[in-house]
Amino acid sequence: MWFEFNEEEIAFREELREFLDDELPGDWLGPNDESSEEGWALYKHMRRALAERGWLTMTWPKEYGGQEASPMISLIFAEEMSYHRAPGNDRFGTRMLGPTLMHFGTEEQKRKYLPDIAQGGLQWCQGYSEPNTGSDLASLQTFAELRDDEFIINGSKIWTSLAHRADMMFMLVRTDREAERHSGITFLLVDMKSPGIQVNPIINIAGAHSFNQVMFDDVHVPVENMVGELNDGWNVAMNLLNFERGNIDYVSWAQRSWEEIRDYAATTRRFDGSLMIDDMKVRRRLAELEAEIEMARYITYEVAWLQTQGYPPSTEASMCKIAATEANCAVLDFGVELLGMPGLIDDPDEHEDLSGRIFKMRMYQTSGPILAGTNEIQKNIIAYRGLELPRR
Amino acid sequence: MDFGLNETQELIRSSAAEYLADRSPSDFVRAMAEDEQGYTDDFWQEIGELGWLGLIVPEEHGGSGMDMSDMAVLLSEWGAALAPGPLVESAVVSASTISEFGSGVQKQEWLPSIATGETVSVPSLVGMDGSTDPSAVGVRASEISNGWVISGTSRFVPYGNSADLVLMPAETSAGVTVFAVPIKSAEGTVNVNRIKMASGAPACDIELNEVVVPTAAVLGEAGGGADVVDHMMLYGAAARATQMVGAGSAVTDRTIEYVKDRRQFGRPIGAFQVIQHYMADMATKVKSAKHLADRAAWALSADMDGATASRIVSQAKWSANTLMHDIVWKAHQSHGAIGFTWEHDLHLYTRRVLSWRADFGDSDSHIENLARTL
Repeated sequence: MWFEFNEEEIAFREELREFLDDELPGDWLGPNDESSEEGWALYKHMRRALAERGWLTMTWPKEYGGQEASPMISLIFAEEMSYHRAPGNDRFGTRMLGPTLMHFGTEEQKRKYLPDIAQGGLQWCQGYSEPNTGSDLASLQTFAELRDDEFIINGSKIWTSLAHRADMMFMLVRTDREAERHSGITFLLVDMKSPGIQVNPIINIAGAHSFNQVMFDDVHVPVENMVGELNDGWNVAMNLLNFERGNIDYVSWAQRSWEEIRDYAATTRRFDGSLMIDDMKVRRRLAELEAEIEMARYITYEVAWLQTQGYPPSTEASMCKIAATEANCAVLDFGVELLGMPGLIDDPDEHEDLSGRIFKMRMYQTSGPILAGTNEIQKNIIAYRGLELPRR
Repeated sequence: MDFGLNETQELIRSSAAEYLADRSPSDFVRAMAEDEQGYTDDFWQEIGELGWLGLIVPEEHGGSGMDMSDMAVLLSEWGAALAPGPLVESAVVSASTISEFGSGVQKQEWLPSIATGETVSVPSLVGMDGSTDPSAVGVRASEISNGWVISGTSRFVPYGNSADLVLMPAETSAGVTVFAVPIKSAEGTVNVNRIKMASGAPACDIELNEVVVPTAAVLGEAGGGADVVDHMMLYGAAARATQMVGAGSAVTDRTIEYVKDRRQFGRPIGAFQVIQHYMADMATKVKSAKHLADRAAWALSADMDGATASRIVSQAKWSANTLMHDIVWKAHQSHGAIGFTWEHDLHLYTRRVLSWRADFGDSDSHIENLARTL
């Protein structure tokens, strides 16, 4: 039992903080809006700068240009990036597709894509969800017909983050309608400039263009873009989902918002002249939320620690997703209410303090308990895999 | 970061689990809850012989010189088994407080016998008004030549009817002072009134009438009692948090077994998603509170400043209070009518979790501590 980081880890965190201070704009508060030109330029700048230091691919094996960083260092990286709301930590390429190609890719695919991902080159997006396929991913219907040496894709993908910025998509398509539903799925890499692809923006409840619906109309994809075997895409994708869970992000976002709310309360006077923070009710609620953040944080640390010990985390990752996303939403809910009417302002351009941002942040974070496996799906995972409860 | 047990801790865990499963099954726990003393002398002697009462007593005073992280491993098993007896009161709170504040003579006099179990030492931390606010002291002490005269009532002293030594805060002209009162052999009138408590551990109102103790009975400085009380509360809260999580973990395991077994509508109730999600919530809460409790024990072992350690302990106790409370009621809901019977063991946990919630600082006082030091 030891609840502190070691010297190497502390030094890395310091180095990363200095880097972020240097590279991010001076008055940076975040989060970044990748749909604006300015935001996209900052994202690409940060991704390159991180790639130059080898940090994007720090967890990769040395043979693929990685540093074989420990899961704990990788956790600290994500913890600081998210705390600073820094863009550029490309999860699609480095955290998701890269490890998948190492495991399932052909030599040619590895040569073609891995160095590019490591250098922060092409932008990838993920094509899984469909209009009728949310939590029940295996029900996907977008169909790819194998004709000679090409797949012809028809259908659509939805909730696709960064599709409007992406060069490439990794996606799941149905390739056998007759097979048992998990067995007729194939994993493909698709050039987003292919004829027949149309990207339609979807505006989220924060008013931002963060994701899209992507339409496929007779899109041709060469057969060498298949990862793994034909009809084995479910297996490939399930392996990949294990890389997806970066729950420390939610802990860090919650921590940062909590600090902003505390600082706002410490500098904002009520009508009677007292500071908000001098109100014991406010302090108590902040203290409760702080404890909730700490609880989520240490489960997340445990997940990283389990990985350092060579144990694959399963239920712990689900537990920390639930705890972290709930804490994150609770912090922002408290903030919105504490600020009163200013907490309901929806105009960050005109209001530079927290009042202009907090409602939007709350709207954004609504996605936390939903995406990457809803919290209810996580509870199912805990119940089935961890607690071995019966399915029927 | 290390979430694992070292070899010694693994040994403590496995031997405690094995021993307590054999020695403290539910009929023993039930019998002890009805027992005048709340545990048997034989049991306590065995616990002493196993070395558990001297785990954190320094080696030069007859203990093993281990730290609170090691103790936490035992406390977790102790809580899971609902084992009776003043382990937290004597072997954690008293042992650490005498080690920290005791004079050389006091350490030599009390620590070796606490470690064997010969001496049972308990703190008196309940306020005169029955609250868990230790500053509401109901005892006064006046200095005389060569000693002090103590009068008043110490309320709800845990295991006060079997204690040999009571660490008792008293108001004095110098401020609150903690006395190590050898309650059975004290000169003066002592009335011990046993109160049967929900937890199964007896508590006692102890009335002292002109009890005379020597100057050497002062623990720490005269007037310096607040620090001693803080220390007792800190170690007690960390220990209780760990014990509570142990109990909550056992309740969760038992409830999961129950819902796998119990069939309704032609299937185990554990196949219903609402029950599955209760179970997932309970398991997540155990995990959440466990890390903070382990971290609290670690904070008391590591070289950490007092203010930080105090916050870490308060986070742990508040979390254990809040989450284990949720867990026992969800366990009842999942057990249905059978869990409402005296015959079923579930209420043994419920009674203790609710009782321990109040011990060594209730949720309110810990959140207040965190809020003040935000």
